[in-house]
Amino acid sequence: MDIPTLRVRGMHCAACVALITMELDDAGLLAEVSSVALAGNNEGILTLKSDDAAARDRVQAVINALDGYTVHT
Amino acid sequence: MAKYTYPILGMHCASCKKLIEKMVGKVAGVHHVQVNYATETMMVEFDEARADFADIKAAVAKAGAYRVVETDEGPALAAPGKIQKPLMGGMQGSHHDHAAMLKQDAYNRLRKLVWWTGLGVLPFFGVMARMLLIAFGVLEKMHAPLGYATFSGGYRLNVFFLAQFALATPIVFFSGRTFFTSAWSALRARSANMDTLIALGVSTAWAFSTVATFVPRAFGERESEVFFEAAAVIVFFILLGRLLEARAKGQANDAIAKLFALQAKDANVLREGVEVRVPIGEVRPGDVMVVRPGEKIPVDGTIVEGASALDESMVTGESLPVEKGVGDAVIGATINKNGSFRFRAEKVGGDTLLAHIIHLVEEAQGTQAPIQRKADAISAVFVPVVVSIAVSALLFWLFVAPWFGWTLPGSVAVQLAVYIAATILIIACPCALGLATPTAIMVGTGRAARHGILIKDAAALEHAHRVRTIVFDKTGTLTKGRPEVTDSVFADGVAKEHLLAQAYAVEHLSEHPLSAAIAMFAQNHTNGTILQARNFQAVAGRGVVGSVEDKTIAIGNLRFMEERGLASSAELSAQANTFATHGKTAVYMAQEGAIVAVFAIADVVKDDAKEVVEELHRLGIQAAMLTGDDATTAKSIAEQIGIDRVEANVLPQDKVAAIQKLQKESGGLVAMVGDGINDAPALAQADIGIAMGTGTDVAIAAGDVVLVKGTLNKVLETIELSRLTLEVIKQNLFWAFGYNVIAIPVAAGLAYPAFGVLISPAIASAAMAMSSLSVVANSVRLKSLTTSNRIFSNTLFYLAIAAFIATVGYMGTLLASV
Repeated sequence: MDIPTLRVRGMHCAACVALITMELDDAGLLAEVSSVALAGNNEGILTLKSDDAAARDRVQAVINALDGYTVHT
Repeated sequence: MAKYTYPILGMHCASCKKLIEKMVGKVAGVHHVQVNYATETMMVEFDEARADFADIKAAVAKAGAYRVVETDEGPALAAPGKIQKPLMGGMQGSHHDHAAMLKQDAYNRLRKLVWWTGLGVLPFFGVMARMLLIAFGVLEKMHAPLGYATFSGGYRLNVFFLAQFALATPIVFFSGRTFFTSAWSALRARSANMDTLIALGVSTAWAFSTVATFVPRAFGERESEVFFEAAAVIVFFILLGRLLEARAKGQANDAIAKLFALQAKDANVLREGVEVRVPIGEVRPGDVMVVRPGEKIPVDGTIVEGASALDESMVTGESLPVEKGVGDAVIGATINKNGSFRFRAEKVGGDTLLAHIIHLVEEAQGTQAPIQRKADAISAVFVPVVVSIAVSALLFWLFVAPWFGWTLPGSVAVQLAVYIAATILIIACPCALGLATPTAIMVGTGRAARHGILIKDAAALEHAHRVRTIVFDKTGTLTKGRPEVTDSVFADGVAKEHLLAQAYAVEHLSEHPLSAAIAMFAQNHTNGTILQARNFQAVAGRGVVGSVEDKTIAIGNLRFMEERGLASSAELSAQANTFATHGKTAVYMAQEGAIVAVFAIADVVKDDAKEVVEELHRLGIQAAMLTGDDATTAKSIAEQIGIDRVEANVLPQDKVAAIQKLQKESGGLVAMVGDGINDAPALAQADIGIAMGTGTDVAIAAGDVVLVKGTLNKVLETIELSRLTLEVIKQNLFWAFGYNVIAIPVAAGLAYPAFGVLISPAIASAAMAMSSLSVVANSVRLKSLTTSNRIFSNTLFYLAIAAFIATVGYMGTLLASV
């Protein structure tokens, strides 16, 4: 089974990881995410715990609302 | 609700700013927090009954490796009536001085660390030199040149190795501690950066060498060699690269502090009919203020009584004093010249025009992207690849190579495997990559400084060649910034030279810039006659009058002549009108009852302005002009020089918007060239801000580049130097990467089975050091590199690289068994 992930453009450093983690926590969505990591080339990867589409959409919405970060498909 | 501003260090990007704002914003009692990345400050508004500095400091620390210092915002731009606390320890000055002090302190500590590490590393350069001498047969190879320390049970330690352990260990774990902490932080974020590779390489070399020192036969029957020199030298070169980079980043920008310093500190206010002197922070809207000649206008307002001429040049950039009367607006921080008046305060504290300009500069600085560390971005991919190669090589040489008989004579497979893995990690250390850009920037900025171009922001040197539009301020940038007499017409039959001597006698007694222009013109065109004026009088807003040789001489504007009942001839009037259509000021001279001359006064263009604009066009760069002056004058100047695009009557905030618009429209970068305080926000907003050294301190502080003598052709020199610098940076990066691409396979032992070529960790560190030195040497070339000699110079450089690679290969074969 493929591990559900989201690629986020704009993540370039540990501060970005901490910021996004905090935002997801504030939105009550951190439980949906198993890891937030940098992938290089100004991108990061969020690994989701399940392939629940609704959870994925909520996480995506929180990240897209942040200035400087975009989930790209 | 109290508002404080604190310096913050440790931020490296906009994400840090957002992280800190978010963390501090969560503290109970905090109402508002705003971090400015460029000025490294944080403004916090909070309820002092619910939160204090300790809470804020804890929140900042929780966000990451950031440091905040308790201090206070400067006075006067705070809201009126707020109680100002003194700074910690009784120190005075703006918070921005503290930020600069902390940055300087961090730089000094790094410099001291590099110095002491360099001293500690010197013996290891001796170790490497010894190895070379052994390879060339000059010295006999001795495994234990200092003998052994023998213990009971036959346990012995190589003293030479012990000494190296004692020297290298503090270097690795004290000087190099930041690499380990940074690599650990990256690891926690499940990422890798340049420090990851450095930490791995250094720790591998140190760990292997330490085991080999204290357990000599851990890796086989034959006692292993050690690579302490590799660990120590890596740490030194990386720290050196960091130091050079910090120097190349330029001076701390104190534009904001200089703007703060423009404010008046106190003001004369009428309270219940009595004039009292109060601190500026206590002025409220509606207060009636009294201003006398020579005093600074404290806040923005409207004149209610009296009149004067105000020097508004520090805000508007325009050189001529502006006449003001009842109903006219006055601007805080401008200077009252010669009259007294009263005005009603309307905008105070953070609402004044000066505060607005400060805010614009802060905003513009905060939106500029910092220099990205290319090495970190590349390391995120490079590091895992190198580690994979090292692990693969380790496994190959441990388990696979022995099957083919590929081992080092007299050693077991594990020794060769670890040897190769350590060599890969060491030789892959991108020290040269870390030095590639900062060394070139440093040499480039040094060369620029020798030519009167001060580069304050290294990114400006890196990017200036990409400019496609240059926006010029008019007064003081394209023009000389002071009025000069450009034309003169005289009535028929007058003795011009004698008339000019009379003019000089009167005008040189006045301080008005127009008088100074006429006095200079007259002095240069008289026949040496010196005359004296009596009964001199300066009439504000009109002109001057005096008695010379018993004749009344009056010089001034048309209104002055009309008030004295004087009219000029049709011919002189026509000439005066012609002057006006060219944007020049007409000044009349009357002798007794007749107007006898008209002078045209204008701020003339600089001698090289036209030539520079032509050259910019040849380079494919568009020239634009923004000015607060009127459209007629602006258009006249633009036509003289060949400017492509003109915008006149532009306020400071409009200049920023104009730059932003050009940045969107332009296919490349937009540079701004200016000299006045009103240019400071635009200089900060532009991709490259170029300040004229002859301009105001604030413009100089806001610019990325300062042209010391204010000559326009230095703009062209800056662009050429940027092109050459970028070429050298690209060569350095190519070499730094190319070296790794060539060296890693060889370090992995690819050439060993067929050619017997193996790079020892010692040679790896030497080669790594040489690659760093070659990057530095290439950067030094920039001192004398020009567009005309670059082909020859580049050819020499590539030949040198080829020779270096050949040398390393040769040394590899010689030292395979060392």
